[in-house]
Amino acid sequence: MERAKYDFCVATANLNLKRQVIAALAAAGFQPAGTAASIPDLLRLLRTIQPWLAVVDTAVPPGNLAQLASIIEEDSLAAAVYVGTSGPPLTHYVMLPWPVEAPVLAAVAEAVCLEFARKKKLYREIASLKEKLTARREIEKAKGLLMQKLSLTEEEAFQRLRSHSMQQRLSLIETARQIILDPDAVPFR
Amino acid sequence: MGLTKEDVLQIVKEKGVKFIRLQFTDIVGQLKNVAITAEQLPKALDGELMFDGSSIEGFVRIEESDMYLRPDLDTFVIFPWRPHEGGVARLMCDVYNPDGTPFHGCPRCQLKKMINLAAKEGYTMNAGPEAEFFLFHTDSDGAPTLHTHDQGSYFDLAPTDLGENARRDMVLCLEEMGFEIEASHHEVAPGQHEIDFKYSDALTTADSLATFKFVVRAIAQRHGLHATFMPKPIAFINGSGMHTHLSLFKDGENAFHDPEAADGLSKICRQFIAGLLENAKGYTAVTNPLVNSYKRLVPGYEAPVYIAWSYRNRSPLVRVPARRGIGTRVELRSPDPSCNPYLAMAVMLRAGLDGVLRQLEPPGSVDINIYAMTEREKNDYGIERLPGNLYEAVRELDRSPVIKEALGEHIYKRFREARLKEWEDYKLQVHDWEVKQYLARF
Repeated sequence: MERAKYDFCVATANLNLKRQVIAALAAAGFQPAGTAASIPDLLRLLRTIQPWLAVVDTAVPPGNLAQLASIIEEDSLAAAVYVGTSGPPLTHYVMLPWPVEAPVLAAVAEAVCLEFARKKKLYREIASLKEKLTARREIEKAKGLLMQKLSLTEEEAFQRLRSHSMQQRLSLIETARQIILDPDAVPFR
Repeated sequence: MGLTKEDVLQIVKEKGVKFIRLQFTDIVGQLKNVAITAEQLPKALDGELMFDGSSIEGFVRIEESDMYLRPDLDTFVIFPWRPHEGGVARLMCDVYNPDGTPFHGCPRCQLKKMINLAAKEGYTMNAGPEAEFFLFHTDSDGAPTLHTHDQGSYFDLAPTDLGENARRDMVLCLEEMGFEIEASHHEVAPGQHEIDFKYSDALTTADSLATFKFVVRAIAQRHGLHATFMPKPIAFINGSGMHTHLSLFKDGENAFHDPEAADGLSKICRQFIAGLLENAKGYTAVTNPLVNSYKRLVPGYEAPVYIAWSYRNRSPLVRVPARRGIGTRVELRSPDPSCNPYLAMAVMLRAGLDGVLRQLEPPGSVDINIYAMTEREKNDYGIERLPGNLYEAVRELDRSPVIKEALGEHIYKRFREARLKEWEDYKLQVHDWEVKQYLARF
């Protein structure tokens, strides 16, 4: 058996549409993970089982679809494909007019999932860079405090920081934070 | 913080803020806002933005409807959710009359008045609230239900608790907005949660509470849940309270602490407690403003019913936690989170201050469970009850000159009118309980 590509949820109150979406995606190797009959239902589902993909009927009740789309996007809840059955077209998001041919739906679904995976990877990288940047800033600050307080050169201050961290089994950043919070709390004799 | 107008404009430009919500509360405590674009901000910061006050509950009559919003620059905050394009920020505002005087119906202005009154005596009040709320599911129309768990659904095996997840997001979001969260935990009842933030001066705390309720609701919605601060959504299980820790500071020192006293409490602290007890009946309509509030104030669910104070036991109205030194404080246990935070802070401060100014002496502390006392024992201790329903509470408010002064004439009149109307509406209803109880039997 072929390994499932991605798992997905369908949000619609239309039984027929639900059946067709599940059949089309399952045939292409996607794994059905749950269905929702309303927007709050879908949000709870996405938060709980965290599937890769959400296929959303634009007519899903109670109707504030643009808001749903922005929540899914802003909170990076899942990749999303909107299938348009009624209402005004949704701009800025991937929308297919219904009915849609099964292979088209599967191809688009795969593309948005890949895109979502790339986006997640980028977000992780940004988060880790931000963390490193803050850490570096704090270590610099702690170093500055030590240099001033103990009249050390930059190199010596860094050595102190490092040796204290190693002795106390703390990371460099933890020691730096201690020093920033209270320069007298860490003995450097 | 001390932000200037230029700072705010600079931040807005740097962070790409597109919209600013100018927020204020009506007399009932509903957060209102006028959303403006970044281009309109300079005008708004000069206090030149006009709105129609007659459309806000309890504000003014139609013929005096022009009101101005004066943003408090220190309350500038950017909402942490990441919109597609352009962020959203908020500023808390005071409401002013066209002639440049503070509007008498503005709860935030009224709280400032009480803060100034205390400042004249050299005191500032710090407050730390513990707001509880329920997270319920919504139905397919988006309307809130009383369900806290999906029943028999397809993901019974799911390991995550929706409510816990939502609460974690709320805490992260509040922290990004500069809140210091002290604790966040699941409460006694299913679906009930509590988030406590660090104490601060009364005005900051009231602003924080208004923001807090807004953030909790917004994040809950993003999780497909409905957050409610209704005091007692379900009968026979714990309701949602807002225990509030209060302390007075003078010259940077905690005025409630006295290392010489046997119990570590200063005379000021005892007088403040006496003021809270003496005026309790009068301020209850403000701290517990809904018909439903009084379904929480019943024996048996850790909510206070009796006007007494204690060092440890949690049944009376006022408890003195064990902390001493700078953390010496009293905990008022009756308020619930449906109250208008500005008015609640104003009456609590005024009530306590009344005790200090009149040098009242509190009755002895009651360190046994009051719920287990007989009526006679309660009489012997001189323990009275809080008002039993909204109507009684409004009547008590009418009899309390101190609390009326704390609200100001304008707010008092409109507040009591609105509360009595709610009571009358409630009285006219035939409730489910009556139908179940009587329809078949009579």
